[in-house]
Amino acid sequence: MKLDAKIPAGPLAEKWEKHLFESKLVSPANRRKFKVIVVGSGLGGSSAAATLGELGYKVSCFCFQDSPRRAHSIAAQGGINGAKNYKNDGDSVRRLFYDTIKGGDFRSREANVYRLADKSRSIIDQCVAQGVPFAREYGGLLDNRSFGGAQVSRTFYARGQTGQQLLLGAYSALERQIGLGHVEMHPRTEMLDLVIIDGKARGIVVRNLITGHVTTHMAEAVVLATGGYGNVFYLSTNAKGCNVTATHRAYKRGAGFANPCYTQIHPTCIPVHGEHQSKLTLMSESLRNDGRVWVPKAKGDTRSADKIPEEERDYFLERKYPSFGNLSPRDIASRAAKEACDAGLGVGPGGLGVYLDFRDAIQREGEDVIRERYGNLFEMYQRITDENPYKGPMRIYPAVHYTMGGLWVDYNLMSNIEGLFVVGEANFSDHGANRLGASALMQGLADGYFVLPSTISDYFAKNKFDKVDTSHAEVKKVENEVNELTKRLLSINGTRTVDSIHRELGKLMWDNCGMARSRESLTEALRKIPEIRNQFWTNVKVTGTGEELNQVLEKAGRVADFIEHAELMCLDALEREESCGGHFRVEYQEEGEAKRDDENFAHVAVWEYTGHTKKPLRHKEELVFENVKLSTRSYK
Amino acid sequence: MELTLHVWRQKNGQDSGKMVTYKARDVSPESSFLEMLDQVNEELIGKNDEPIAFDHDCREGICGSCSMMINGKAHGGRKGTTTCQLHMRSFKDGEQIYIEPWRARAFPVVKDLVVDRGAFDRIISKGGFVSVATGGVPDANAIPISKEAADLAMDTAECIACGACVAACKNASAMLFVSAKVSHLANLPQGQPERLQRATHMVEQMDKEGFGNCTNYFECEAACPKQISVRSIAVMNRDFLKASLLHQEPVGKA
Amino acid sequence: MSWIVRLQKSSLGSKYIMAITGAGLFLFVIGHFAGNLLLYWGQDAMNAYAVELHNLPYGALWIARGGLLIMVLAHIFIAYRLTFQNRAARPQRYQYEATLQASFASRTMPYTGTIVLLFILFHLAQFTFHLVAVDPVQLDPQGREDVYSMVVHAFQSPVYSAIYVVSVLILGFHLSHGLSSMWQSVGLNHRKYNLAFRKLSPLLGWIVCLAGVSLPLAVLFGLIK
Repeated sequence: MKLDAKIPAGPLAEKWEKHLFESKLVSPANRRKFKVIVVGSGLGGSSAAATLGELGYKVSCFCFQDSPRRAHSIAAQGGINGAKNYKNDGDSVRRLFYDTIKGGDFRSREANVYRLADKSRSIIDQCVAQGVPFAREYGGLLDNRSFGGAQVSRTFYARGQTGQQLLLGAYSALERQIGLGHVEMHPRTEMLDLVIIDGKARGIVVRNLITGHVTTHMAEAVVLATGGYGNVFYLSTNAKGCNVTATHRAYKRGAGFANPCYTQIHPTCIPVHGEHQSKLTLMSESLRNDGRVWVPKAKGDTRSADKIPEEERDYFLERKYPSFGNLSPRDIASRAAKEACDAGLGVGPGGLGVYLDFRDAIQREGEDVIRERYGNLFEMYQRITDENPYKGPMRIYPAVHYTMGGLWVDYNLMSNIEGLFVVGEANFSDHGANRLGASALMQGLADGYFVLPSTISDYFAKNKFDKVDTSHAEVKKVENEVNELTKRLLSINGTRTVDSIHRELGKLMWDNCGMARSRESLTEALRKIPEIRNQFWTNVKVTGTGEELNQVLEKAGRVADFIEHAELMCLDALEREESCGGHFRVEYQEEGEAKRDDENFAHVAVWEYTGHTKKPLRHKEELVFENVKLSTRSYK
Repeated sequence: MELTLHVWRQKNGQDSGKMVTYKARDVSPESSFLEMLDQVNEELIGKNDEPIAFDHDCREGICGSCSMMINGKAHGGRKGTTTCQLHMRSFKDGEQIYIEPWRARAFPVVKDLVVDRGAFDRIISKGGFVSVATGGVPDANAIPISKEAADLAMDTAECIACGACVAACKNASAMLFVSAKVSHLANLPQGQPERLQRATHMVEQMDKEGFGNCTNYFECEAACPKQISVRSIAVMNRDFLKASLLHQEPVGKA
Repeated sequence: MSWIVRLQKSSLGSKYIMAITGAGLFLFVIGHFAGNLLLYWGQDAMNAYAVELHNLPYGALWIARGGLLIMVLAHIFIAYRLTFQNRAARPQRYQYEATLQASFASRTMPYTGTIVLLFILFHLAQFTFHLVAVDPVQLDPQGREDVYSMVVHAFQSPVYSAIYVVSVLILGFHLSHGLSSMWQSVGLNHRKYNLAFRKLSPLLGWIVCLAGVSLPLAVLFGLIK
């Protein structure tokens, strides 16, 4: 596998401009000759499809939801970073770049991250022009708040629904292009495989989820914007439909999968309530602006929170990380909460929870101010738990939230398969081993609005494309494989439901490849996953037929991929013998903090598929740091 | 808890469909309504029956996928709550629950509780946007927007397009959905240049889709899980009236 | 003119027509009842008023009647069209129906409207065209048409009085939604004025209708003879 990151030479701040100038262009009149397939309609997909449509390319956009507006970007709550320095608190592109590199525990590419930080400013401008109603100050200018891992206020927000508003902005731009006939939208259509002809990605095989028809769509380039794989864990803050299928099947067709073990556990989620729970709900990181995290100092303290006096409370984040306090990055805050609970100090049922307390903020600012800032989040908490967070503290616990790993891409966002581009959470490129809050929205939109539309034209301009259509032998072959898979799933007719197997997989992954990983736990997982896979392929029950809306069949296909992907994650976690960001190996720590091994692991691990149940090959892309000094990440 | 469910089952758009009764056993009051249905479905699959199809995705009340009429009330009728955020603790042990899909000509049933809400997307594609292409926009702080205007815009921009307004309206009217977008952009300076065309084009498409008319029941407002006010409908009525009476297509010089 | 045709066909255009014609018809009801209240002032006042009404300059009465007719027809035509469209918009009803906040009056507008229409037809047949349920019109001592006696005589019948009382109360009920809703239809909804739009308007409707209802009751109970 050839891994050339194609990072332009030259000073960091000039790389992108220089690259743009050196890129080839497609003239406006020729653009309609190129067709682009965009899979996924979240922030990355919608913004890419809309922008490509505006430029004049022929675009087909696919999503499994009933409308592009329902992609899970919509659930992002807290905000989006933009290095505008509107607050005059010392922010700059360079600082956002540095915070992001450091936040990612020095496991991301300098050039990509710098470009991201630079584009962050244009994103805010673009969104405001689209009518995104960001929060304002009384003077009419944009308001900002702080997020974890930063000491400046650079996060733009729209109440607790920033992701929704940004997605609806991108969605409205997309709908405009659909209305103009530049983009053809295919909702309720799921990508099941990738068609590669003569080494180039030329199409995708999809299943119409209503009729069950399997068809192939051809294009000159394929863009995957299909999000992350957090649902490997069954319980996560991802939507129920989020899946790894598109990226996993691209991986099986030869695309390298980078850093699959990097998963982010978000510290502030509502704790699990019972065995039938289907998903976890996030409480925005922004709550940590005013909420204080604590546990009782004494083990087994069963008093209600208001009965525990100040001196018997351990505000453990403030104690351990005085300079960042409650706004420590997510991986660090999550681990600290886990440690407290492991030490028997946890609160609530099962002792799996810590307090997030607004008592002091309410006393200081008044309930109205807090309501204004977080009202909808407080309501959501109350709706789910039936407890009033204005009266007593919230109970929170970490949960799987985001996956930094993804398909490997070069500086142009192209995978190692020519013509296969990957944007947003689906690629691996910008967040290293840990993503900072309010950066996912930024990356999805930077990729979709500004990066991909430029790099894709370079690809078109530099390549010749043979005329191929769906009668091509390769298309028939891939279609057949997809149909065979469906038939196989429907014919097993075992005794276990898809969900029960998914739950089993999720629990195994959470216990063995979650917040803390060890050689033993990972080895055990790698032993047990094949058993689960076997259980799935011999004993799962998929009801109904393939020629109709069949939600069980959809789930079964996704879980089959999750099982294979879980194995890849454990393998990657096992071979990365260091702790970094969200990847915490208990063997590698120093005073409880993650201990990196820059000598041996300052690289991207890229996995190449070698065949069913065969061990994939591990390749490396060495990370070069010319502009930042590798240092121990400290938030103390 | 144990509950008796009466659920609309319909194989596909052509099938005529009927209510079927199921028992939901061992339901935890902490479960959400959808988790309760998951449990029923697991049992159905175990019996080799087809599980109940329903739309759902984020399960945190923001994607707008879930869409069920529960005892005649959209999303169950609890204030500001979508079906996925409705918890079983709001029901009584032994209760009978009727679950039906959204009913509207413009929302044909796809299967069981799943309906096609594509009409909403088509309405947005006619005008629910500001016509700016990527790039070439002014600095985000170039145009100050009063906090009041931004808040008003946000109040209606929160719409999740679930369709509860249509489902709850006795006339299956989509006024609250359409007006939420019209009102969101009408409150912002960015929305002004296209304001009147927007109202006109979106209303035209809304009428084409076969939604009913607004007769000011305000049932939509009570059903809306985002509690969007019918004030937005008044904004749209005003804009459409102004557009109808005053707006003229540019005709060039005399 | 094509834009007017298009406007009246659109859902929002229909609302405007309902609101504006509804408001016009309510103004007529106020005028009509105000005139009729002259019954309390006796035969002379009432009959003089009738004559003056007929002798308004420039054929104002006929212009008013023409306008009234157009408004009535438009109101009825659009109302039925809306009702049929609304029925068609939900071909399949819910098995379990429930209401969260829509008022009973708002949900029964097509029915109360139809009852009011039937009542108006009866009312016209009785007092305007003298086709049913009324004695031939006599002249009063001044030689004028004795409208006063005609009305009083008719209302002395408990059956006719009951018809009037019930119908005008139903009109009040119809107006209780119509008058609060018409503001919204033309885009007037403002927190500061919603008290007037939503509460005082219907209250005015009830006051007018109760004044109307008082007439047959007054006759029946012998206050007007």
